[in-house]
Amino acid sequence: MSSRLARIDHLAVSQCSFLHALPAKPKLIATLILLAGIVATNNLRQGMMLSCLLLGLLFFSRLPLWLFGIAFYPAFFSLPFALVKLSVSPAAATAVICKAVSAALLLTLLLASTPFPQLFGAGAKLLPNLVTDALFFSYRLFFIILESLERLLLSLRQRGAFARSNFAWSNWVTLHALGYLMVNTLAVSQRLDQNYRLRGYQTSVYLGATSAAWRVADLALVAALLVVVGGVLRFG
Amino acid sequence: MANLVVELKGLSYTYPDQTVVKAEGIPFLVQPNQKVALVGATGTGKTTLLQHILGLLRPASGQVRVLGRDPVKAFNDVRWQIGFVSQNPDEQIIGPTVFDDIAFGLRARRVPLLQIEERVEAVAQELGISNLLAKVPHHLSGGQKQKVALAGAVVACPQLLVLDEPFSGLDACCKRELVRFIGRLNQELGMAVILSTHDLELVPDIADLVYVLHRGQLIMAGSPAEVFTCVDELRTAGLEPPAVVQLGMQLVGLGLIPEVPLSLQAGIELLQKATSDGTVTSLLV
Amino acid sequence: MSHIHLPDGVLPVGWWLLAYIAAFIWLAVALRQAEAERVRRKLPFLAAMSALMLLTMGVPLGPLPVHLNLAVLTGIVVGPWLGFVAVFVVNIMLSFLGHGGLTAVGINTLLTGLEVVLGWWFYHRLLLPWRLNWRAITATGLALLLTSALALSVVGLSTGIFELGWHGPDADHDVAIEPATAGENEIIAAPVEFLGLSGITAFGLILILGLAVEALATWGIIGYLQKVKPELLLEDTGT
Repeated sequence: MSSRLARIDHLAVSQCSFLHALPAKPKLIATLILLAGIVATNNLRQGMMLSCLLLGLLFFSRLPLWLFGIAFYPAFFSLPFALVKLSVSPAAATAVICKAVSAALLLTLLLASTPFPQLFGAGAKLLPNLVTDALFFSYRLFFIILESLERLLLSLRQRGAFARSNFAWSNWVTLHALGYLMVNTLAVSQRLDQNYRLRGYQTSVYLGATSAAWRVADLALVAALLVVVGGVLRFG
Repeated sequence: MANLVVELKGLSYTYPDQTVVKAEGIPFLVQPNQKVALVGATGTGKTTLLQHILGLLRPASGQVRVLGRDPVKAFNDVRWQIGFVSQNPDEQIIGPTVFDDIAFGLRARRVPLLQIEERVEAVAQELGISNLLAKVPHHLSGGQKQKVALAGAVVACPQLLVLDEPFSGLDACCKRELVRFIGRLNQELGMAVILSTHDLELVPDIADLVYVLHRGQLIMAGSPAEVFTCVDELRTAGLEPPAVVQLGMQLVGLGLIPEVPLSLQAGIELLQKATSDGTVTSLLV
Repeated sequence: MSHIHLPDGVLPVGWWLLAYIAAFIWLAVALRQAEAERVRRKLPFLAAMSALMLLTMGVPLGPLPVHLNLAVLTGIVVGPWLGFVAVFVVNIMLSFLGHGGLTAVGINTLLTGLEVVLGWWFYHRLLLPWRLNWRAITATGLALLLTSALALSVVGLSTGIFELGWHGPDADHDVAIEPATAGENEIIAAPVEFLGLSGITAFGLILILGLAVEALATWGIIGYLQKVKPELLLEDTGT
């Protein structure tokens, strides 16, 4: 998951497409509308129509196809619930899986097309400052400690920490490594907080400033999406 | 003294694990437009001292003044006047792209967008990272991150630039570039500079004034020439004078050159002069 | 452990809406309880535990074959209020990565948040006279047991996964359990077997294994912290 997150983060800032060019707030609203549509679908036909829409977005935004693979992770967890629906019909069961995959793909598209400060900034007005700050700091910290973890694991392996012949010893080392990682993460987090404060970080100034004003095109997009989703649910 | 950028006296701080760090002895003073190096062996408290200057720590005893103000009480004002580059640039990178990271300080100061773009591009060009502006910072190499962090620290033209172990992890070429860049900042913008290091080789090229910290005491202060020729005191403090200074002292002792050079170039010039005026030849005969 | 990988579209609307409302109410209470000054100082701790939870849920750690969630540890170190905020943050981020849907964030936050609070309460209150090692293991085990049971109940009740038959929203007819009572417009539902007859047994074994791993991991980490940074464990932010 961690390498996936790093790759998605990279896509969000390095790719160019119509999806990337959209400001974060309208994109977030559009995502919520689509998600509501996905959750509200009653049958497989409606689910497939929305899925096709999302696949079209994936294709035209020139994002890599492996993103679609991420969406299949929740498909696995939707299987038990699909089995329940199997008693109604196979189509109903498939609709459950379709919903799960579509919703996951939708959120992945959002994450892969929106740099994280813009994404968190778009939600900044809805959430308390502490929560927005925590989202921002945690996200940034995650990548820092990921590197620390990789170096730590390499160092431990080189020193013979993980031995198949000694299960108890390996587990003991792993737990202490986690403890070390925790202490290190707390220290890094404190330094990160200090450095950001030194650089003038304030939630409302930084994250608020990353969200651009709404344009007519953004309003039109949201309206069009409402019509499309409404149409799918009504006539699908 | 009037208008000191930094004034620090009799500092003492106790960490939560009861480790006491002191910087007593000679007062630590930084004048406007001055370049100051704080040297000491690893673990002597250089970073702790810098954190007091930045207003991140409140001393248990002693006095700290930055631009005439208490940096802890006036943190929100004083921080705008200070640019800081930490030991690990990963811990201060904030933006999703290099451009965003460098521009961060200007956005925080609500500088107009057009000006932001101009200044970011100018600083990036100075540091040779214009080609990285669209890149994701945490995928860059250590040296590149260092440059990004430095660009972010200086883009708003602060009065004081503080660098904590800026040379660690850099190759020789990057170190020389950094020295040149800091020199230009100081000359062209009048920025005072404080840098901490335990690597003394580059200090003569970068600092007007050197403070030596040893066991909680600021034991020496002076120009690089004054400090680095006190070899015994430096070695007691766990430091090794630059190689060229040590060689120069030997050559001065042999009468080959008249003064101790602080840099390789100065040493070469002195030897060339000694060769051309016959000093070396006469000694060999 | 109590974090459920519920995809979007599985939970009935009423359930996840109510869960979101309850989660936001609890979040508001948590933020108020953590006073402003302490909140500012605690942001690094909160972010650190959130990042760690995010990491452990996605990175295999040496020979350990399961995910840890470190919720109880979070409660012990940062307290119940900020721990709840950390859980909310992590669940939002996980939902973007397919680990539980966005609609499940509310319910996951409630369940894992409860794990945080229970873990804190057991460790810092109920089991305080106990020795550190046993305190850690027992607090984690009890918190996980209770919240996992609650999670199973919630999933079972809300999705009908344990019911025979299904009353689907698109069904024009009702579903009868007994063939003998089936009317003209009724279809007969087959009994739902969840992972076969041994489903419950298998599920129980996985639950016990996960519980044991999390409890031992928390114990191991707390043992390390006790030696290296004991002040982290002494901090009690329950008031």
